[in-house]
Amino acid sequence: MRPVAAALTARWDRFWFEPDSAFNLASVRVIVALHALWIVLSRDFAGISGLGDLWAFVPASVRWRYLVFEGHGTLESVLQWVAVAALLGAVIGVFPRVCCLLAGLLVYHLAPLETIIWQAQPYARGLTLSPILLVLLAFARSGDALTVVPRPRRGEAVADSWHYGWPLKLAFLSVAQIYLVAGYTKLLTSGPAWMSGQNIQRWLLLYNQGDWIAFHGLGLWIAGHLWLCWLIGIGTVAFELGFVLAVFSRRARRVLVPAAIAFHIIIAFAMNIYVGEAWLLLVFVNWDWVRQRLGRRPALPVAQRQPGVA
Amino acid sequence: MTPTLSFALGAAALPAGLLAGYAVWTRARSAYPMASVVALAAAAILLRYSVRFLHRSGALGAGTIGDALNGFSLALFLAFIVLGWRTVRPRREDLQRARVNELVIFTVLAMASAALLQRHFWPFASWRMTPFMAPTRVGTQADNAQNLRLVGVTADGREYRIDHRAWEPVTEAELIGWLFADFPQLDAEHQDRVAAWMLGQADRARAAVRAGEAPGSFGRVFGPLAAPSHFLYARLWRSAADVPAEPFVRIRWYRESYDVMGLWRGADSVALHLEFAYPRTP
Repeated sequence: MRPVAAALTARWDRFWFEPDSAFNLASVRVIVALHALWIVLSRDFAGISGLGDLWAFVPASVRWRYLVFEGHGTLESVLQWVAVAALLGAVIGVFPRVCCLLAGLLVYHLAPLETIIWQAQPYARGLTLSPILLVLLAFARSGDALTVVPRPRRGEAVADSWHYGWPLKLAFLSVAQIYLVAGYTKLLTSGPAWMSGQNIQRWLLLYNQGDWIAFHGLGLWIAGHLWLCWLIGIGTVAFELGFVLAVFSRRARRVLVPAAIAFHIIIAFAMNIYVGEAWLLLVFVNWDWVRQRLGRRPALPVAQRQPGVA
Repeated sequence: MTPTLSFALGAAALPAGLLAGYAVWTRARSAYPMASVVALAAAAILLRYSVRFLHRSGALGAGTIGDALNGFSLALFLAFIVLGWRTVRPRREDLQRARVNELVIFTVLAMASAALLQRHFWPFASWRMTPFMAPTRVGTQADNAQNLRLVGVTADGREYRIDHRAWEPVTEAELIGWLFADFPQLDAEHQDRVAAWMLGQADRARAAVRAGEAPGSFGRVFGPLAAPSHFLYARLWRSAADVPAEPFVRIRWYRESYDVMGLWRGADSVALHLEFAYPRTP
């Protein structure tokens, strides 16, 4: 038993404490904050607080859980603008880790207002992963690159370190679990029948019937080809269950991340469903590699790519 | 059980569980590392089925469980923050790594719990994305698919489908969900107040479009590039020609009813059942 446990521990450490670059982690900070900023500025959370008549059946435990109460439009408006300022600070790099923590707490408070009138869980509205990732980035060393204040020392290169690796891996896992769990719940709830062409056909029709939806063409065209519906049904579950490989394999990442982006574009046009968290797929991009390709930074020699030299 | 007590018990369950789990783990891991993991998993499963048994036997109501889950979810997020904070403090690298391990294991377990228990502990979500078999009919709750058609009525009696942006700050999906879930339970006076608000929103949006402005508040910063809502709605009111010049004097909503395949094949049409109209008497 002990050799097995030791081998598992070693593998665990190799995975979670693999060195990565400060630039990659800082890029994730910018992506997560920019994404949350876009959504916060596209909603009116304070307005919902003012609609007291719609709060009739919001349980007290939900109000205390998120510290949201009706009739505090002015306060919520102030908090929304503080969240905007904090998110801007995280994007630009002004005391980025403090800004991430503040923004994470405020997004946890504000995001539930979107659905609070009838359900306490605002998942898939775009801000579900934001509190987790912002808090994570606040405690990880996400402020060692791409910062304005405090100013980085000129000419001082930040070496790759495990300090930048583990939060990246946790961010990967947070995004990948969306797909893994979505695939798992389909099989758990409906069984293999979910993948049938007839089921996909009906889902496509359901989200394309009516004058209230944005796109009609693609979904109805696919629904007219039953073999394609079968392919989509089987492909969707296989893709969702397999996406978790992107967490562990760089090679799989190169295929699965573009595939996931295509997957969301097709869902948007064919089913009129938008998953706001999909933008966070950008955390999988190796931004350090992109920067090197653009010629902004020479690759560090291998000797400098050692853990603990940050 | 009072809501406050349920909430507090739910919130206390997490730190108590964590402490117990940690104690078992630290004592057992050196001797029986795998057995301790199995024991923790078994304890979690036992707890889940105990709660289900108590719920089914009537000892725990849905409201009580909901209150406890709200407390538990809050404690889960607070514990995540505390464990994150702990990773920053140590100076020794081995201790830092140990704290990172605690945070990672906790986060993975929180995500896995939401997934395996099929419960949302937002922001740890269960990510159920259309997991059901597609409904064959749209109509009542029994069909598992319901939709409302919200229309504004002018003085001459003509009906206009209302653009989804009129309801902002509420999205149309949330409003319709609320109209199905909560609206019927309100007393008549309360219902009228809500309907009057809806009529006002619809007419303000109509007037904005007539004046060449966009309806709603979500586009105030990014305009048409504002983050979309979960469902992608058509922008029904794009220009002044799409809305009446006269104000809306009434609002109605209809429940849509049709057979999904039948409608597609042209063998069925959308039947509309009037659910509510305000003012109640024209």
